[in-house]
Amino acid sequence: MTEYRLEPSSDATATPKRLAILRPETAARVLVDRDETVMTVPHLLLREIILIQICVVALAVLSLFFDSPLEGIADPTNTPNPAKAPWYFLGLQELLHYFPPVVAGVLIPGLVVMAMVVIPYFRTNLEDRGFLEGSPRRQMTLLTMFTVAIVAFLAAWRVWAVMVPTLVLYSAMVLPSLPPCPPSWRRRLVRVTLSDWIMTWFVAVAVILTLIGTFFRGPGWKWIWPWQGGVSL
Amino acid sequence: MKLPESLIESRVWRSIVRHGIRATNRNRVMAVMESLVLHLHPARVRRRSLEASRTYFLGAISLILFAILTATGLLLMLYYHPSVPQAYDDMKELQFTVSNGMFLRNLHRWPAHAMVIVVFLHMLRVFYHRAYRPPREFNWVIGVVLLLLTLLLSYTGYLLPWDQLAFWAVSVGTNMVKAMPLLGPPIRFLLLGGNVVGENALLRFYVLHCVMLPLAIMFLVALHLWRVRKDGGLAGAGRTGRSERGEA
Amino acid sequence: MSATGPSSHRLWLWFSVSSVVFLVVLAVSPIKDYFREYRRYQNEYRERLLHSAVSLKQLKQARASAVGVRQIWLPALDNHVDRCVSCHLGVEEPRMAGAPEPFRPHPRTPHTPGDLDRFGCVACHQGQGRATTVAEAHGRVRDWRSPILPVRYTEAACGRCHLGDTVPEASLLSEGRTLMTRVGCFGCHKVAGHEVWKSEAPDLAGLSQKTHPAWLAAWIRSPRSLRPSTWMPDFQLTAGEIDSVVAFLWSRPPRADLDLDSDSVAVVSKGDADRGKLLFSVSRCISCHTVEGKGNGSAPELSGVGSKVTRRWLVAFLADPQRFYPDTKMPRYGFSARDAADLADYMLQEFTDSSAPAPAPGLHSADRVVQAGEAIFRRAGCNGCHQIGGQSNGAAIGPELTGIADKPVGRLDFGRRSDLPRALPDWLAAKVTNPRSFRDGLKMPRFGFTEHETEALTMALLSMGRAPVPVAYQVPVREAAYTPPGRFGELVRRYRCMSCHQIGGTGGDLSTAPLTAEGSKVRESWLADYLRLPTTVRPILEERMIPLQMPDEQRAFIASFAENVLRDDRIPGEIFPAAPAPEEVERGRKLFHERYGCQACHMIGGKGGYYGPLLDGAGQRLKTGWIYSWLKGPQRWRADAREPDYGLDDADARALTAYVASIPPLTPPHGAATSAKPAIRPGVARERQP
Repeated sequence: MTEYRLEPSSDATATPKRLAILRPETAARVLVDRDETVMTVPHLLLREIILIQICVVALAVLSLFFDSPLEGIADPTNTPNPAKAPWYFLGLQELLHYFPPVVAGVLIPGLVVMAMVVIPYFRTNLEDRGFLEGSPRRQMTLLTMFTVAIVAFLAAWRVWAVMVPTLVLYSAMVLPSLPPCPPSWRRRLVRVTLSDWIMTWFVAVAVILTLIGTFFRGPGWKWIWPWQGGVSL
Repeated sequence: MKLPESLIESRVWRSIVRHGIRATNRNRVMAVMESLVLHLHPARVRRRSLEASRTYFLGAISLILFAILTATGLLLMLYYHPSVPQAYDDMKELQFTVSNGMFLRNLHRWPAHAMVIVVFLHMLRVFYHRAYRPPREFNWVIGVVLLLLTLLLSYTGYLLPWDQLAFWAVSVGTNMVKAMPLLGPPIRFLLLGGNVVGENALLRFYVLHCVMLPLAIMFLVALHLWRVRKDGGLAGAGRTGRSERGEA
Repeated sequence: MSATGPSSHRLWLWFSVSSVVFLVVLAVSPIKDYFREYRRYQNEYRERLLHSAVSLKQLKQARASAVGVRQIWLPALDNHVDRCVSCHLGVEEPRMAGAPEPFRPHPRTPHTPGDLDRFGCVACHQGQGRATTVAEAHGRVRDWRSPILPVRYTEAACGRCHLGDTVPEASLLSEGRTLMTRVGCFGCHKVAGHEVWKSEAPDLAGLSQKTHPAWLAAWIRSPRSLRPSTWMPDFQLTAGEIDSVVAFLWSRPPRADLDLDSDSVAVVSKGDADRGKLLFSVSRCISCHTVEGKGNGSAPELSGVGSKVTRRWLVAFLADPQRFYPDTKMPRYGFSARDAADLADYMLQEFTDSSAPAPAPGLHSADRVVQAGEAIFRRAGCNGCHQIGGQSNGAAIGPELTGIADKPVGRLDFGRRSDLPRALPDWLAAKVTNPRSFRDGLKMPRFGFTEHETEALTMALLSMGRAPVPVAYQVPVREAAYTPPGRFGELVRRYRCMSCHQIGGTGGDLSTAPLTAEGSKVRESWLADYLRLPTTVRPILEERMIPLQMPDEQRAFIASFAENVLRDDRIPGEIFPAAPAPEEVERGRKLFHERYGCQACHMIGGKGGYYGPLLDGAGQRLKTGWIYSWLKGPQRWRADAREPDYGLDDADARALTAYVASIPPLTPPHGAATSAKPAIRPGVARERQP
């Protein structure tokens, strides 16, 4: 039988007395819910209606000023150069430029989806300990080794578009342990958890790759500037 | 007795709206309890949950976009034939002869793009707010599936205008699928109804886009919202107090 | 706790504001929709209709016309939907003559008015039929493949249905298509429907027997400066490359079948140039060839030929050109060996070109140079037009041109030519005039087309659509070329009659006299005589029938074949069983001179116009049945006949026939023919209809 802990609530006037039984590895504590509540009608309902109206108005204005693109009729014999996927897949298509199709088109997106699905089942760091809280030296060593490995790998494949954000994030992660870091920054950065760092890295990479694929790729998937080629969404 | 009052007191009115309309708290509670639509909400909500920084309304906006897309999509279906070359001609008809046709099409395309972005942002918000933590693990998984479905929905819709943009975007996309070892080619064949992007693919994408994927999304959204309520309403930002918020 | 409070009031305020904005924004699109472009034009057109109405019915019609999209829907023509008529409202309304665009009626063409419901607008003018805004409809938008054709190129659209080289009433297109075939576009460029194409360029086997290397080098360097009328283009080769190509061509084995090396009498003995000169003019060489630009031009220019060919070759060629080039259009004259030698000496002496290089002895080059020359020969695409010993190795080195007319502008390579408007017609015209100006390394040679030729070629290119029009709309190339049968056929081929004459719709267009119904038209005896010594039938023409010097037996055979086979059953033989009554002849004479004034064009006894054929001795030449049938309706027999159709009744036509048939010959027809040699001024020839 696992060990249980009894934790009495301290303010009996606000809340009826409750008993909570918690498993030891659960970090979440029951807090006293002192939040003020309001009626759903009208407070939530009106906000929702206004939100709906704002959304419709914004999109209607957008639709009045910008027409959807329509190119010539589909012609299998006339391959445009470059042939681009919808914008949200252009990050993948950009990866395809660096890695073989199995890696870029299957392995990487597959792993990303897998990782996303299993995130909540990894019950690590439930206390939300910051990455550099605790034993920074060991963390730093591990981080540096890991980053060097990744950067070496990316350099081998010449994936500069991923390498740059990786290095920027690495700098941000090690910044608190460097003397010139302003204390206010340090306070914040120190508390960022590893999972947040990883997610931020993923988002940065995804956004940068998508932007490059959408705006900076021209005929032959060569680098161009956005004003040199049109963009169709 | 004044006319409006007599109207409101009438049996017909009362058979539809069982409570009165006066702004009493009882009536407000009743408005939620008695309404099918509002039944998703509790009668009272925490004031802090209404703050923008809690959610940035991203989930709500996703749902609104989905509703707009459903409405405009249904109207577009009245003018669209999933066949070659009629599909493309229909786009031209929308532009040139259908009243407000272009507006309708724009009001389907731009929200579609917006929805991909908003759903992604919604996922980020949930992640950074730690809202995926127990007991909400499964709802997070549903969310991931919804994100994938949103991408698929947008992607299948991308082919329907049957222009060069659509055709080659879909060709490029489905060629990526082909790279998958072993399963790739059969999946691609299944998706396209053949080995090339042709009329069969158009029909499949049409059915996926208009029927299968929206039904799947609706079902999962219902589940998603249901779980949000069952798991204790909106989750707040995780950092405050370093713990999960909960009602239990 | 209270549900209403300051925050709630603010919420209600926000709600009311956003509701108003919401409604206003959603109203914009329907309002925009109401003010569509075409509605303005329709209202304006209605005003014009009301003003121009001259009857109550027209007024009522104008009042009843409702504003709305109008369209021509053509399910049979690739499901075209042409809404052009939503703005171009007066295309079929003669009352709108003089109105500004878009209300003007369509100008008259072979298909308008009348065929609008069959063709719509886009089939000819291109553009975007479904569109209802000006810019989109005219296709001047980025994503529409076929912007509207500039009006000067509208003829090109005729060629999408009319598949033949000659398209009636589309002269520039017909010219362009004929030019494409002649200049050799199909030698390098594949085009669907033109897979079988025969080049006019000579076979290069035996070149070393025909000319000398220096001339050849000068020719390749600049063909036009040696012969301005040639279609051989300037390949812009360097001097070294030219030398290699010459070396390659010189290394080809000579043609053994021509036995040019045998030292026959004619080759060795010196000819009589004076007699050659006489022969040259009597044989009417310039009916086909030109000399210093004078002459017909359907065969190569001859000035300068003396500096080009060897005497040995020329003598043998004149004796039998068809042995050298089986496909030549040149007939085989009945020249004797002496005739050939005389002619050759005259030509070599007279037709020299001082600018041409002097003959140099033979050439022997290293194998390496020969191989380099062969590589250049193939790379430059020379073998697209020139065969060597019957082998061409199909050198389609240019890009395929099928469907070039439907190529989207976005796919055209403008290269360096930033000066060009981004439009297909301009791109094509620039490609035709100056093909290598687009980027380095392009292979297409420079043809030096004139502006007019460029326009014609562009027109022809713009008619080559990607997908064929539906079969119901196609006007196919006429099939089944007439092949003359048997011995007649042999003679026709030997004398190359069909280089000039048409038989059964096939053949050249140099002669105005088709031979299809020759037997129903002329008398056998006249024809046999005419073939010996062609006399002038039409004084106005410069190109004359050539005296072919055929043996008597062949003349008789041809005349008899014409009499018995080349007939048209609709034409009666003789309409006067006995000689016509003198009164009828007299009546015909009056009709001829007084009523119809036929002498304005026809000459009798040296008096009268010289536009039509001479009528002296018409009775000996023509059969009365033909004269009668012709008079009843000249255009029935030749669509392009200039003679007016007077709508003669039977009696008048008979009387005229009687008179024409009775006109005596100027000189007895057999008198001139008795001299053994043709006179210097035989002058006769190529005839049009009687």
